[in-house]
Amino acid sequence: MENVFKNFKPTGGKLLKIAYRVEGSKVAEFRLRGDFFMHPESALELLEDRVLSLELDKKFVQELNDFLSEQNVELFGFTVENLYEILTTGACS
Amino acid sequence: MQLKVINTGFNSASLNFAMDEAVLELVQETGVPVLRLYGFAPTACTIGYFQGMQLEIDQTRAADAKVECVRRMTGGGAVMHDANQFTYSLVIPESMVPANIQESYEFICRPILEVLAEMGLQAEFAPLNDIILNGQKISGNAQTRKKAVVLQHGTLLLDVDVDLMFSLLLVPDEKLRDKLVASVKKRVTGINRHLPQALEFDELALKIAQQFAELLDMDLDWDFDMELLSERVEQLQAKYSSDEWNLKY
Repeated sequence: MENVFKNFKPTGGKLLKIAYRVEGSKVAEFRLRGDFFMHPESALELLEDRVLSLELDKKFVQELNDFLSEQNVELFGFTVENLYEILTTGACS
Repeated sequence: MQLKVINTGFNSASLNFAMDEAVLELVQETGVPVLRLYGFAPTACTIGYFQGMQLEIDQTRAADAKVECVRRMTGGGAVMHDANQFTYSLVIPESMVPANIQESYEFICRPILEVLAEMGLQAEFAPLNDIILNGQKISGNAQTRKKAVVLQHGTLLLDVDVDLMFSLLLVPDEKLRDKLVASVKKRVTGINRHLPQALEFDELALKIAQQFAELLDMDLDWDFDMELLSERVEQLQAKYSSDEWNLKY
């Protein structure tokens, strides 16, 4: 299966450019780029790795938010809910 | 406490960002805030920390036009910088600005709004990180926080050449390029278009420094010598000129 590369613009958010591949209930590939902000910036790789380790189910949002809180990461321009919607529906509202 | 301030004039993007980072390191050591006022020359394109150079900039056109392309240490979008812009960089201990990041953007943008108001321009802060005038963007700002020090830099557009900008920036859909350019022309403006007389860079630098001093309730100390940081700036300029940094994503 090939990676999907698409642009997403959450309402009121920043432009996300995401390359990803979903296999079954897991995300096999995930690269997040765009004009968003994340503090600290060095957390991007942590977030990408964490997405790959989670099951893409109802607990995804809570678990990823908990992880970001533990790491003191703040997101501006998108939410974890946006990422879940993108990965499960291929769209973003 | 005094606010150290320096006008470093016009420099390349890699040198400007090297100076930003060298000053950030200095403030981490001293705890004394520094305001740097500067411009970009020659013309450059910069991308946000989380952007991919190949996704944002037409590298061939940029190379042909000898436009330096540099990735910033801050997030945000791709920007074309030219001599028709004024840029500030405030580097300050976190304890001196609101802890909440969104509030701190607004706080640090206040001096820009005050200066514009002095000139009769009623601009507004537009979350997360913009300043708008009559609904049109005139300033973009970006912030990073490292080791309890905040660096916020922002560009005030004196004039803007949207056609030149889009000759260098890639767009998500080439078929919609003309529409996108037309839309950006409506949404972005330069302040000189709204003033009876074009602003001089040094005059604006002085006004903005005074407003930052007022905001922070500090006196200005113009006795700041960037030469003291020259060795570190040189090392950091090599970083901001490297593919390892600029093409990381």
